[in-house]
Amino acid sequence: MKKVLVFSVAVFLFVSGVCLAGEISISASVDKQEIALDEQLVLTIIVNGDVSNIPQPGIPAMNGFTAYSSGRSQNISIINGHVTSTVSFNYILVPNDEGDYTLGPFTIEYNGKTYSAGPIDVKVMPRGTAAAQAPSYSSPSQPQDHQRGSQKPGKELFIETYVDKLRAYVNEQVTLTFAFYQSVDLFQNPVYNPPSTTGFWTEDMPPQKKYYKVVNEARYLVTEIKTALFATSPGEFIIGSARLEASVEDLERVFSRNPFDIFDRVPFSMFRKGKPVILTTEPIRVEILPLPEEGKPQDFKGDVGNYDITVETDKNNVEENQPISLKIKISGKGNIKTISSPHVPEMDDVKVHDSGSSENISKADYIVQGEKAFEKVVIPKRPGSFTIGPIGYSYFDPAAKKYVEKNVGPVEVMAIKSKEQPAPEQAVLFPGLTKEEVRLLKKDIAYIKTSVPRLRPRDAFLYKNKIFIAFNIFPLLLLILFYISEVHKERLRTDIGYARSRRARGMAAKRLKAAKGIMLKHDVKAFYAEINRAVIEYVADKLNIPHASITKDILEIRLEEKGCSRENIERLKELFDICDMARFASGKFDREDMQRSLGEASEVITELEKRA
Amino acid sequence: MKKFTLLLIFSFFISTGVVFAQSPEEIYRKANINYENEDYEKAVSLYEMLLKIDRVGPEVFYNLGNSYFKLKKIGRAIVNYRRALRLAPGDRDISHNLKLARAMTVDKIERPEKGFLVKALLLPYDSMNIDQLTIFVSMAYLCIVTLLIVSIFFAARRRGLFYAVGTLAAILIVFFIFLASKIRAKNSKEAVVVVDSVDARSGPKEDYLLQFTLHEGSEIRIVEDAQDWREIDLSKDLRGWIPKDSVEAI
Repeated sequence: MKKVLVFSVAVFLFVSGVCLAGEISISASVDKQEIALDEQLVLTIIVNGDVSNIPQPGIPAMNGFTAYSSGRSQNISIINGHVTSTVSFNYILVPNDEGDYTLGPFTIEYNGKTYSAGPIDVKVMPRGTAAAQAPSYSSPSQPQDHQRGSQKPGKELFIETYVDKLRAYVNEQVTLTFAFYQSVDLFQNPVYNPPSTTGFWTEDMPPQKKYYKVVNEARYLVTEIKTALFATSPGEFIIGSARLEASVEDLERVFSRNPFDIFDRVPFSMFRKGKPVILTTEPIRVEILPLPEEGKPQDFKGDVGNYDITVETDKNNVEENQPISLKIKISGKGNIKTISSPHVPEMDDVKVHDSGSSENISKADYIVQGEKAFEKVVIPKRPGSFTIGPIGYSYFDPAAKKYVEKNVGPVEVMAIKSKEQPAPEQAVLFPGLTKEEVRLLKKDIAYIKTSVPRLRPRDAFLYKNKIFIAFNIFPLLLLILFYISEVHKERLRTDIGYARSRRARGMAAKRLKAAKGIMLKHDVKAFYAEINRAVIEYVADKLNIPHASITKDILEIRLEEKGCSRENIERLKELFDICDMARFASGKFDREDMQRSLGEASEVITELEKRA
Repeated sequence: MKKFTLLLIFSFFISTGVVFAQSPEEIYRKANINYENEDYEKAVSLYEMLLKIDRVGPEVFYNLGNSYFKLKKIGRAIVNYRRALRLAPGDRDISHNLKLARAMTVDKIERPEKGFLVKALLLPYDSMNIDQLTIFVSMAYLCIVTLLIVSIFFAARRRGLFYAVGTLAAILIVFFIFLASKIRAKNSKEAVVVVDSVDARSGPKEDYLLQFTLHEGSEIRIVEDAQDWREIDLSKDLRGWIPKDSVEAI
């Protein structure tokens, strides 16, 4: 009955609002009402009704929680032909903050009616205050929280992220470690969402480390993933929270006491189900300090770390204009990729070209380190001895908190006078510089063009020229014109009706002109005969009917079909009457009458021409 | 005072009049003479004047490039060789000097080498400038129109004429695509580094982290223009921001 509304709220780790109204009912429940911040809540919304397609309930935004759908299950029973289906929608809620929260109400719309359940009150308590209860899954711990074990009794899975330092300089390595602790087998491979690291240059540091560790008398398999971060600018940065989606055996189902729950009691049956667990960590706030202005060397280019610099040449004695390869190596710990080339002081009579750089990066002990080599080609332009360098390089050492300047070299180079004939091309190639380029350096450019060209605006292209465009459009118009005229001619040839119709006007005009000549001779009968013929032939041509078969009646019908106005038809008939009278009766017709008839005839033809 | 002002105006007219009285061709000739006398600075200023009054040709850009080359301004030389090559793609002197200028640059940016077949197929594209392609496309089009007009009057020969029209239409389409992509390339924003070295940073400000350093003569693509900075793009996925005046657009 509709009047009856049952609403029950039970508070014993189970709260539900049930609303029975006709064919559908909705209820919502949580697995516990008081949870700690490091726990999670399972929200179940059950929709029950005797309809087959049950709609999805609307989930309102839940303050203080992040919700993840963990699937739905459906149960259809048919009793005495009466179908009842129950759908339960499951959500996992992860609290974001402590406090009292209200979930819901949850609503569902069906057949224009709205059903609702809840709301449910939930209290989120500080971390580690969870009531001792059956296996629970927990997530994060504070960065560098070394007492995490004692705070999480009986956790089977948990994750944490921490950094090796919370304060660092710009471009100094910060190692971010993500650790996943597990003491049970997983149902399937977990899905790892790394934390966001906006504002950092990141460098992955494989391999994943796996080891066993005893925490609070429980043995865990720990999987560690490390990432090196290099801040790109000073300020405060947040390393976002990492998330891991895992799936464990649903113990509650396996050890269910329900005697009718046969399927789930078979431990290895196909119907075994995983229980999803979502773990998240706390974001980490890292402070990035700017590099001190004090004592910043002139040639400092932003390199941070601890480096050594060496320089070597492939040979020290060459002929003039022959290249020497100079290799400057910077090796040490730091962001190798961003190291920029040290400056080689310029000299007269010696050309120095960069010919590329190579990197060799290793991540031993999870510290980004390695070597960057800059190769330069040095070409002495005259014989003699040259001193290259010393070459200076400076970096900031974050451990000592000061700038370090290092010098290397100088390198002595001897160039001897080249023999007359150029030496055959050397087989030695310099990395980054092809043989051809080395050869080209010695050539001179081609001479300027001296003849005076036509100078014009830079943007004056032919395709923008209006005359050119017109010149191109004109033939197209010509083509269209020829085509239309050809189609017209073709029609005149093949379509007699069309040809007659097109010619009718001209013929009529000719006859009327002849009539005018006759009028001047005052031959009334001949005049009207001519008028009559002009009009009849005109109409017959227009209608494409033989001249001989024209009668007034046929004319009337056919003209009406063509859509001639009544008035014109009447005028035409009247004209024929006058012609007949003049030709066959002996009426008196003077020149004025004839003049009028001539005018009338040409007017009627003009009128008909408009219609046809 | 009044006299003085008058004098000033008068002298201004004279000084500007000297410049404007010269025809572009005369300026060009003078610039060439300065080049021959190895006064490259003067030559550059005269060629640049032609650019300013917008009377140019491939020869102007080429000679200007040569003058900059002699002044060891490789970046500006490359910009002008590239401009010249756009107007006269088949010119061997220009491509030779451009190659030479590129060999003197510091950064070696990989330029993908085209295969022989691709080169042969793209020969018309690489060796013709926009106007030449325009004329070619226009000729093909006019031939098609003429053949169609002829086919109207010689109905008996229509079949053969239509084959010819089809062939021409195919050629027209290919060259039209060449032309369109050439115009597109003309409008694309490419630039050359014209200062000794410039640091590309992760954002449009000096405070951002150094990403990489470019040296004079590096050819780059402009992605975006901000107030005083430009976002640029190298051949590989290298992107960074550099001060606006450190590069010159082609």
